[in-house]
Amino acid sequence: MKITREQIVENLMNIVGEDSVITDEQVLKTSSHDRFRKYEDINGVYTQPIPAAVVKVKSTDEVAQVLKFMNENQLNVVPRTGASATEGGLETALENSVVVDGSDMNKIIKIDVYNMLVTAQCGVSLEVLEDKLREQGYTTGHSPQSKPLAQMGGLVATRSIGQFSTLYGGIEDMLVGVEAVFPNGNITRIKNVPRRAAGPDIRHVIIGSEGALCFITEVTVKIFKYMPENNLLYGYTLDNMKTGFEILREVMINGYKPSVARLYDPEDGDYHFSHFAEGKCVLIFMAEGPKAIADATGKAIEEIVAKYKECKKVDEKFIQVWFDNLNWDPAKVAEERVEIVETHNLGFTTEVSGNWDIINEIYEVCIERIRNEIPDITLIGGHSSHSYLNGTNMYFVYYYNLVNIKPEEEIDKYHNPIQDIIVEETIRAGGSMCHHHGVGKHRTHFIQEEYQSSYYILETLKKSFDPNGIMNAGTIIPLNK
Amino acid sequence: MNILVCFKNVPDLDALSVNDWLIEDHFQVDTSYVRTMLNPYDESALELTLKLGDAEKNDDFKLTALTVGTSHLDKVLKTLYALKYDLGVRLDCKSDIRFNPCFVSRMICNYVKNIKNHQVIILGSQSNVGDNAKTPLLVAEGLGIPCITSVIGIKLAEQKDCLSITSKIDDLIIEQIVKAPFVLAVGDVPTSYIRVPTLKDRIQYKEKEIKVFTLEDLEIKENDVEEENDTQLIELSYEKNGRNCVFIQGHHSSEKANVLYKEYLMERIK
Repeated sequence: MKITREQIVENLMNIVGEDSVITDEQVLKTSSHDRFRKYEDINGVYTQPIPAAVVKVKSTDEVAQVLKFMNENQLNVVPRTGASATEGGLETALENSVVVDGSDMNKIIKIDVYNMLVTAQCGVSLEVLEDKLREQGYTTGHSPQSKPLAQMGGLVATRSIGQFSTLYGGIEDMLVGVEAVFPNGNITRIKNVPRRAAGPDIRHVIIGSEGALCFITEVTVKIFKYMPENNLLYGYTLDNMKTGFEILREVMINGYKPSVARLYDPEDGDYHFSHFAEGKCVLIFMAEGPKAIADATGKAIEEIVAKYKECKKVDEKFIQVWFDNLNWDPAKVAEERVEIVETHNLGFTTEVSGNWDIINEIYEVCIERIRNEIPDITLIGGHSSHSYLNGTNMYFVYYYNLVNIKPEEEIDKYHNPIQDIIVEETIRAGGSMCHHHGVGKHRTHFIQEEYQSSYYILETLKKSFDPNGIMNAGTIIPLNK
Repeated sequence: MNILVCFKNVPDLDALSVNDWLIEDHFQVDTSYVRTMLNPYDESALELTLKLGDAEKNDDFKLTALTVGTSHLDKVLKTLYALKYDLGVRLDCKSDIRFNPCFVSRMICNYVKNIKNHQVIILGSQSNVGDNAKTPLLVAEGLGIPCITSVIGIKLAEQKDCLSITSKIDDLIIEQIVKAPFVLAVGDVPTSYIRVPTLKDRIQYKEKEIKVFTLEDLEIKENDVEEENDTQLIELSYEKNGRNCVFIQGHHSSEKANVLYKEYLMERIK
């Protein structure tokens, strides 16, 4: 017999205590989605099934018991920590879902400066952790725009990346060990060692699993010496994105590792840079690390850029001021809500990646198609913000006016058609449809095209670790409707 | 009805770090490194006027946007064209007029008197640069017409050449039907963001000409800039508004909420 909503709540209270099970109607409503549906949320319209409860777990053991109960009763679990997701990963797609919230598991367990490791529970805020480390002269090297909001479990679950990734890598390069709970209640720990060759690297089963395989309870990441006094910032204006991609490539293939390597097109850069780069592309680098390395990296960047005559150097202060105002904190999120209500203008981003030989084509084709095919567009632009030996990412930024629609129609009229163009063109060119936000629930219809023949591995992982399909249903792999 | 909205582009001072608030010898904070934006009061004025235009079907209803400064402001005027302002006007001026509302108001008055008359002139109450809060009043004085301050709403009125004006002074809300000509100083409007033009409209109006008038066109001499000024800036200093911060300790949210209530809120609620 199917368990009722009331019985779900009662059972959960028995496991974690009454105080840790939230059934307040408004909390449940706002827990039924993430920032992908921000316009619905602003208008108080909730189109997703409202969860039965939000459970604030306080220990790995509680997570195990909750997941076991949910698995036995075949009930959907949506794992969550900082709730800063943007791609629908936190939407409760099925009736009687339970949001398992790890944000109270917020202890920094150990800062190990000898082995250069820090271990933290899933609910530790990245900003809190980073501030603590910096006080002691260390850094995680991880600095996504969501730093003031995001927490460690979610960052690993969504395969996060930060603004200094070209030097420090993405979260997958930082994660040393991890503890996670699978739907049958099994608690697994992957130990902290510098490298291993004992079979496949199973950390990658957990990193980027977006709550669709397990609940991450604890992470251990690398730490690095923090030496901001050696940082060198460089900014240039230029005419073409194609030239900018060429410069990024030259820096990367010659073995240099700036921490920041970013290229903005004029439309995306307009808001940030128009006071010094009107109508121009902007190229930004930062070199950091030990002084000798930072200096050598900075010198090489200057030499490479000097070969491109269309590049004009700008005062680094412009770049510093911009960089200081880049992150999204709760105040900025609140301000955005007011602005949307007043202007009926809404903005989102979609991030993809591609090798050097296709990235400019992806950029040009997507911009052209969105300009021509989507109504009421007020801005379409983009930037590259994470570069690698083989290629780079493209982060499309788009805004549109909401014309003659109900809040629940916004996604179908604007957001999904734009995202579909970007994903279609990226896959067609041979790139990846997700660079660092995760798949969530709104790109799943492309997942088989993304994986092609390797989809077998992904599907088998899901079936093996979550045979009842209770973990974040509809995320990464689409729901069978 | 001809309406003139005067606006100013200002640096986004929120983007300045504390260390950047260094007052230089010549009484200037260097804001050249931060992006600029519409002065919030002026932004409200521009949007209130657009809403008025949305409601008015009469072809004789014309909106003009005017600013004082150099050619970098033309981009903002073109954005206003894309939002359906009929005319964009720039009064060309390279001088430092941040603390010189007399001169700014004289330029506006001379434009209205000598170049194009307007029945209604709308300005933001004040800006974050200069912070004089005098310009609307000086414009009204210069033109010899009334000025309504702290305006928060403008609507069409049934009577000819009249508008319904809502203003707020302390807790008092005043609504009045006013016959043009008059000046409005827009204050704390609850909704303050201006709408956003579509890319299509931006492209359509990209080449539309901005009307630029020099000091000579306005019959003003270069050296009037300083002679006109009735204010001398004697000191510029940074007001430190430090706030104390307490981190509430607790094992979980409800424990922290309890501490917040007992130690900080309970007394205040009583």
